[in-house]
Amino acid sequence: MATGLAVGSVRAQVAIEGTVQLPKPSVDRGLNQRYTANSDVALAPTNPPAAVVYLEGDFRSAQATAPKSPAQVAQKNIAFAPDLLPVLVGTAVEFPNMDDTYHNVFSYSKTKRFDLGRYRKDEKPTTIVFDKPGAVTIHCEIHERMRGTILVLETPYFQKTDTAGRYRLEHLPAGSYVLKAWVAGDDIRQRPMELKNGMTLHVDFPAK
Amino acid sequence: MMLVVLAVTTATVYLAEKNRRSNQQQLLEAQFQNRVQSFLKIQAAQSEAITEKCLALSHSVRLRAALEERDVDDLYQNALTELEEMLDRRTGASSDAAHASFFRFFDGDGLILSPENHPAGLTDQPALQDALSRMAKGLREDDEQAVGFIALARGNRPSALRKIVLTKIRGLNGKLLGALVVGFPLTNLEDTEVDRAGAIQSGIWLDQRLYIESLSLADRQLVSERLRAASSTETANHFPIDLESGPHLLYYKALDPETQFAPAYQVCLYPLSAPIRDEQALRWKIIAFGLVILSFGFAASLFVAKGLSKPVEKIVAGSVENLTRRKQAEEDLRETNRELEKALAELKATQQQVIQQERLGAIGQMASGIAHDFNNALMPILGFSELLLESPKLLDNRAETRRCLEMLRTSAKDAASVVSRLREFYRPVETDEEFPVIDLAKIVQQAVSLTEPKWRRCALANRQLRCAKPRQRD
Repeated sequence: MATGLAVGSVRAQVAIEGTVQLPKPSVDRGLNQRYTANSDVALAPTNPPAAVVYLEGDFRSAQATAPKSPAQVAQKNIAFAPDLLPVLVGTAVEFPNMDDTYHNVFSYSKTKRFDLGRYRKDEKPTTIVFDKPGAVTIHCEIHERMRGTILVLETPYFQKTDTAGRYRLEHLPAGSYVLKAWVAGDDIRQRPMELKNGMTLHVDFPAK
Repeated sequence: MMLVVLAVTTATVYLAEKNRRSNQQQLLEAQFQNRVQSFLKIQAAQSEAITEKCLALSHSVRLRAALEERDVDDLYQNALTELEEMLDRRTGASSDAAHASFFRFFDGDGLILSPENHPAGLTDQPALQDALSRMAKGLREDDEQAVGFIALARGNRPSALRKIVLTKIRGLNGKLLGALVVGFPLTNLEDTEVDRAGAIQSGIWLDQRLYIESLSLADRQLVSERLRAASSTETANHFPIDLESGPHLLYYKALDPETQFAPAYQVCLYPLSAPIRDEQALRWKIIAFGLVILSFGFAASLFVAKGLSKPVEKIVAGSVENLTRRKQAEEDLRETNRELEKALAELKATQQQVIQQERLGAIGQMASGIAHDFNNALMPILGFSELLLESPKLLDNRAETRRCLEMLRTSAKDAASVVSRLREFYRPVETDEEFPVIDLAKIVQQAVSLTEPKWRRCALANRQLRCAKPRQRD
């Protein structure tokens, strides 16, 4: 996925790879069927589990700049696509509606509070710039099952795992860092790391 | 008859009172059930909109998101937007729709999320926090929604009561995020006109406290005490209670016996003074009716008695006549009696005469016998005296002479005794006559001596007779 480029004098690359043990896809308890929205919700895919692995440390010296082009969280088939998006602080994200129904994306997260209001496919909502680090839970007011997370990170070294939890971080600088795996708002696993040039580490994040 | 009327009156009074009492009881029971039903119905109707709304709200993405993020401002702001219509008191003219008086959110741990900037309409009662904090356990129950009652003030005014609807809010994965509590006043607790006319007092018994406005302190304590005891055993019942304002019948019923909140009871106090007054009036009516019947009966009996007295008078008149007749008859009888007595006396005299005559007749008959006897007596006298006279030699024999003389004397005595017996015969018998002692042996000897001349040559007499000791006649 999109990775902040670390450009430096490092010749020998440092890489970390491994697997994050992911939780099973959450099973909807189907509470209060009466109030669930129309059938389109039932068709919505359950969120495929994934995690974000990132290297935390002081990267001010190698200040990475946010990408010029905005990231995208589309609404497709009554779901956020992707439903987990790691971005570097300052990244702009647009929320295009690909469905034929209205969507209303909003967030009450302290990291970034916004409300796009209702919009259709052909309307282009405001692009949101995520300027503070943290996890932002995004909802659609109309579709209660729609739920996504934008993970705003201060590090350019991050990667979203595949659905099996595998990841590979490359082009890492040497130094002391903390490797973190964000699985959910209340499930962040971490390992302190001492990175040296030319090494390739294998780090697994088993479930807590 | 009077006894019958009295008995009937008493029985009527008793039955009427019994009947009236049971009727009264049934009436009150029905009235109370009606009241409870209508109360519950109205409450249900009023809270239905709220419960529906709350249930819908519990699925609000924004509320869930705000709860999840503990974004209290957005939480209350969003809820206020949703509940605005319900909270708006300016349009509260129609009483059908209940108007919520407050709402609050709990977090998943049962703590109240206090709104930092109190938005308009979100009233903050001083006791609300206190009252709600005790509801946290409601979150641990299984029900997704629960209805109950709380009191906002320590007073006893029903206006302090709020009905509350607690609705749990869960995340998509079923995790408990918190709960929404909406409270609204009990609008129909005010006394109706019927209540005011019948002085019926109704209210709510909640959490060991009585919410009836118009009760004195002592009465309130008494009612509370009785209710505490009664409600611990049964969820609905009634009992009589003597208050300062008079005897009452108290009905109570649990409004929602299965509530997870403090149980609330509808309580109704029916004054018994009016029924008792009615009862007394009825009693007097019946007694008066009985008296009227009694006096009618009395009059009727007088009338009947008058009709009956006529023949009696006749009988009385007849009896006077009878009396004089009887007196006459008695007089006659007495006269006849006198005559009869006279006749009887005459008859007795005549009988005496007849007896005398008979006696005389008998004397006549006896005369021949007497003459014979006399003659018999004279015979020895003659014979011995002639013997003595004709045989002078015999006179020389002194013993023989003497014997002859004794024989003479005995015969003479016999003759004399014949005469005396004869006299005894016609002489009236005297009852006290004494019988002389008789020597039977001597009499036999004399009889032998007297008759000897006749049988001397042909028989010998045994003169050996012992003389028994003389005996008195018994």
